[in-house]
Amino acid sequence: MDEKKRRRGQNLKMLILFFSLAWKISPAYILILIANAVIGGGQVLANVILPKFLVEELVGQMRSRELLIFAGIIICGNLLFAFLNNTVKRLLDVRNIYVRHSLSRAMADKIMNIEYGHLEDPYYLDLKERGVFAINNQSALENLINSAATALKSAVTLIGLMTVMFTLSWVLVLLLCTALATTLLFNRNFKKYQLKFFEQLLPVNRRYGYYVGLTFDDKIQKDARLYNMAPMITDRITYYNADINNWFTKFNRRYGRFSGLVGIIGDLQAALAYGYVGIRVITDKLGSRIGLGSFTMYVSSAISFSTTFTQLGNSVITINQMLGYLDPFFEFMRIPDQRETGGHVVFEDGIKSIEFINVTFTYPKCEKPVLKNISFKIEGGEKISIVGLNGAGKTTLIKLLCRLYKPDSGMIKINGMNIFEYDHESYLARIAAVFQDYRLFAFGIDENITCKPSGTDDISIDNLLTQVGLKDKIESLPNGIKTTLGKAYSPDGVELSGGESQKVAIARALYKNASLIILDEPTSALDPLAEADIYANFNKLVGDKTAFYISHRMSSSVFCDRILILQDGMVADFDTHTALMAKKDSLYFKLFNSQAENYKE
Amino acid sequence: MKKENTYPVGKTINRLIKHLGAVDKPLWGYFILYTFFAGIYPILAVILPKLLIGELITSNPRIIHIIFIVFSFLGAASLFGYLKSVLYGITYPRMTMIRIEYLRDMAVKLMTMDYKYCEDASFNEENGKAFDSTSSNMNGIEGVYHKLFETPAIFLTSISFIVFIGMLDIWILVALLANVGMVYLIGRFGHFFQYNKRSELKHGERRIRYYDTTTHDFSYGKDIRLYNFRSRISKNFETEIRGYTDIWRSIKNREYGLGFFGLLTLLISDVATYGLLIVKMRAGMSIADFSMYLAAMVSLSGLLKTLIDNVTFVINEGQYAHDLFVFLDKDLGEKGGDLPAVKNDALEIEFRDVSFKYPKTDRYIFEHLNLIIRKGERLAVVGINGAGKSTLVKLMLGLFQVTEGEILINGRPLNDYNRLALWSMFSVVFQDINILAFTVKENVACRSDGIDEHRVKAAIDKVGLSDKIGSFAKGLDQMMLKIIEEDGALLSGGESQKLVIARALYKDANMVIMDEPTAALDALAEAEIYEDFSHLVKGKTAVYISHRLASTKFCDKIALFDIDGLCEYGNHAELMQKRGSYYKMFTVQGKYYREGASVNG
Repeated sequence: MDEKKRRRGQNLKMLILFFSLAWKISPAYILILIANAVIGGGQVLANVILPKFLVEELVGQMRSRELLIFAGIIICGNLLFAFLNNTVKRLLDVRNIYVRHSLSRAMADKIMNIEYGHLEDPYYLDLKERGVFAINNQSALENLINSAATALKSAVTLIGLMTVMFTLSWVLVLLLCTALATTLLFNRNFKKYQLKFFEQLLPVNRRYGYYVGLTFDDKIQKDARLYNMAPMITDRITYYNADINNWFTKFNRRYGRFSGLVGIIGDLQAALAYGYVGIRVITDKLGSRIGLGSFTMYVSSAISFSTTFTQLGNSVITINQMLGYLDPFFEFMRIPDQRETGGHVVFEDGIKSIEFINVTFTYPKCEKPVLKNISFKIEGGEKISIVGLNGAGKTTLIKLLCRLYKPDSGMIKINGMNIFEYDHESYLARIAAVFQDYRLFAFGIDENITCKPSGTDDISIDNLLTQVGLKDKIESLPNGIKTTLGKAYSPDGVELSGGESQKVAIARALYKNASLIILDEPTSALDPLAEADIYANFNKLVGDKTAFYISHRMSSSVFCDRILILQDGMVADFDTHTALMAKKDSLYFKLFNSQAENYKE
Repeated sequence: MKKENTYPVGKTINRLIKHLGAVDKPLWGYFILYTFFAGIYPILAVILPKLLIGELITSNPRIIHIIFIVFSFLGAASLFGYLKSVLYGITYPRMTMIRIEYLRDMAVKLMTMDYKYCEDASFNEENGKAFDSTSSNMNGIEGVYHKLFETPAIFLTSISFIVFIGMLDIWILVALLANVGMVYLIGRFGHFFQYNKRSELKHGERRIRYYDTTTHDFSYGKDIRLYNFRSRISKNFETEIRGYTDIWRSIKNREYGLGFFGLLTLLISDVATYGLLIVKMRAGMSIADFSMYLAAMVSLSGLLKTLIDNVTFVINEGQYAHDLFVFLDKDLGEKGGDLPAVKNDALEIEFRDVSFKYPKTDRYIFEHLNLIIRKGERLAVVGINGAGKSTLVKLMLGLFQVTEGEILINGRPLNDYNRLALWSMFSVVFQDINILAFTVKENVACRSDGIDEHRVKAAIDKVGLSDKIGSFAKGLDQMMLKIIEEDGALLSGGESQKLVIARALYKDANMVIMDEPTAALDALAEAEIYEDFSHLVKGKTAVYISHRLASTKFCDKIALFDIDGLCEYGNHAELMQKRGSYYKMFTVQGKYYREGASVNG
């Protein structure tokens, strides 16, 4: 019982969330949907009520003037509703497009505003994938919107029709409602089945989507051919094809029987209505006799009632189905935005010292801590190299410094104050990082570097470009520094090579005029000469800022002031290159020599 | 009006139907039954009022007759209606199955087609419709099948009504058909206007899609937060959505304007209907017939509109099916020649006067390249970014075709080899690391059956992953990634690289090619790989691409490429003596190591 209530509550919650999202995006949209419902209902009612008068006149006196008037009213009514429907359709069609894409954008905003830790959590990644899949591949949003519109229209119509039928007799309404109740029972039963079905189908769909997605993924195509992976992948797809087919065959067979039964009840309703109203024409045993015109009207409303009710039932089923698909999307949208847990001290001056005090950190949902009791202190202006084996915690340390995560225990201080006491925005403004998996955007190259709209600061960019070695490349482009990056956005964008992109990322970090620069494997894609350029200019580029430099290429430690060695999540050593090399059985010595040996003559 | 549907509609539909008949014969039987039941069902609802009213206007209407008529209707309608629903439910998933089998065929083609299409951005665009044709229940191929299935029934009912009404009065029919015809014309004009806007729409869609994929990609999260791109991206996204919506608005406005013509013909049709029917009543037609004809008119109007919608849909969506067929039929260069793989011998690769530029570009990557890689030789390929190192490999593997000249393998032209045979001769480690959602052993062996587990274990041991794999509960049968199973395993960057090297080892092909295989490894792991390199390639021909010149010292020959092509060739000692580009690069890269090492003596 609780499970059912929870599910029903959940679907309702999702629907409410959907409408509140839609209202935020475009209040007019909700209003148009309501207008659509009212007009639709009005049209059905007009078609039910107006003919009564015409029919009465036809079986009665057949006066020309009256016939003309009544027929005229019907025709004008039709015309009016056709006009209103066209207008509403025009408004809805355009709004639908706007709302649909805006919901996608709402998700984008959410992703940009949630706590960073979620973005590295496979659970949320999976949730996002499923949400996006539903929106893009299953047209879930469009179907939800359309079904919601139909459901609303049907509901309004039903109310109107019931009112009409009440004027004849509550018996008629009772008869219909009994049949209705039976339909509702079937509906409920089917809905339960449907929910369970889609719950079980979702993982199947997702896995299927993954394997199909592989065939479209250009990154795997070389491997796929060289290692003849095609049979392995396509066999999986065939397997899932059969699996999905089994599922859907079962579901559709059940649905066919279900809608057949609902149809029979609909016909029963019609039969009862016709029977009852017909008898009321012949005799007054059940109530005062009615004329043929009224017969037409009541029968018409009873029929419309059945068809509208079926429509409502179908819409509700589709709504439930779409909500099932969209469940991950809504769950994602309900993730709370990151609340600014920081303080309000504005971070203005340069950096005088950075200190880690007994910092321990474990990634969420992991068991082992990545960093254990890390303690060290550096002076402002020092250039520090962070060294360690893969998985030692180097990148994690950086992420903590960037306040992407919060330490489990211990504290990080800058200038003697816990970094979390600084105001978040001003804090981030003083840090510039080039991560190993840096990203650039399809804006102009200048905008990528300045992070501001085009047209500001050309001089300092020029200097930077020379320093990172991009000046020649930029000058060779027709639009120069304003060229858009990448071809995804616009066909006259430019695709930069891995190395050139890396230089743009470095330029971006340098432009920011931060007090702390963090470089994580910044020359991995550069060839030796370009890399040497960066190394040679490193001190010039970085100036008197404080810097952290992570690299597997041990040569980079030589131009840093001190080297921080991380081993198994702890600080193994922290000293100058000279001092470290003196300890001949240390990890550092091993690492350095294993690479240096190859360059000995 | 320009004909944009320049595809052979008839042929495409014919092929769709033929295919259906070939794979699912019983469907025809179901189809005929469905058409019969669904065709007749709506007619019952029109006859019922006529019979009832007929009874009601007799001089002595009897309740018993009413009940009899109503129950007969109930029986017939229930039967037809139920069977119609059940048949629909049985047949719906069968058409889904046909679609997903087409999807599988498309996937196979994508994975086995000539590689050059995978790097061709415009290929995706050109074949976009083909790819979309199999992606949903309600559009594309499956959409067409469903409509083809449903429409003959509607047609059957319509014909019945047309004949029926025509027998009463031809002019009512004419007026109705004129109205329906106008609705169709309006639809066509609207579609035509939309077609004219298609390139604007396409651009808008592409830009929105860029924002969709970028903002939904979690890996952009760090840079967005750190460089404060949030509001810029959100605002740009909003602008794109508005722009796109505006294009649609202009299309819909045109549609709306044309709609007024529809109102005009509606008016004419209604006036004709009511007018003529009233005249006939005055001339003696009964009210029962009046009601029946009116009901038939309303029904027919709806049916014809649906019919036209369906036909338009089939014509529009059929385009997608056609594009898919074109794609599937096209020879996309899959097979290659006839020569089988070289057995039990190393490979000798010769580039003879090879020139190459990528399709649709102007810049030659190589011009008149002459290079021989002898049997058992270990060749290092080095050079600056953009010089063409990876391109060399792609040419050697037959992934791209040379523009001029030819490549010989053991004396025979590369293209004479059967493609699969060709690829079976190379064990390649590419720069992109692809671990797929399969088990460890499937990832290594690249097949799902016939896996030699000893060989897998040996390969895993050689790359130093035994401990890690051993730590998995399911060992070699552990599923990778979290997308298929929640407890799937994830490997770090370095571990992943080792796994793909194990993949190359398992394959044990005639020749080994490694493209930057240690980029993600720390110095010690990297050293391990160098140490083992001799073991890894023992006796085979090998090509090793790297930025880190130290690794190239182990090779027999070194080929240095720059922007103009092959500029230096020889072994390490020879090239160092030359004091050319290689010497410069080697010295520069080793500078800091020597400085660092020399501090200690």
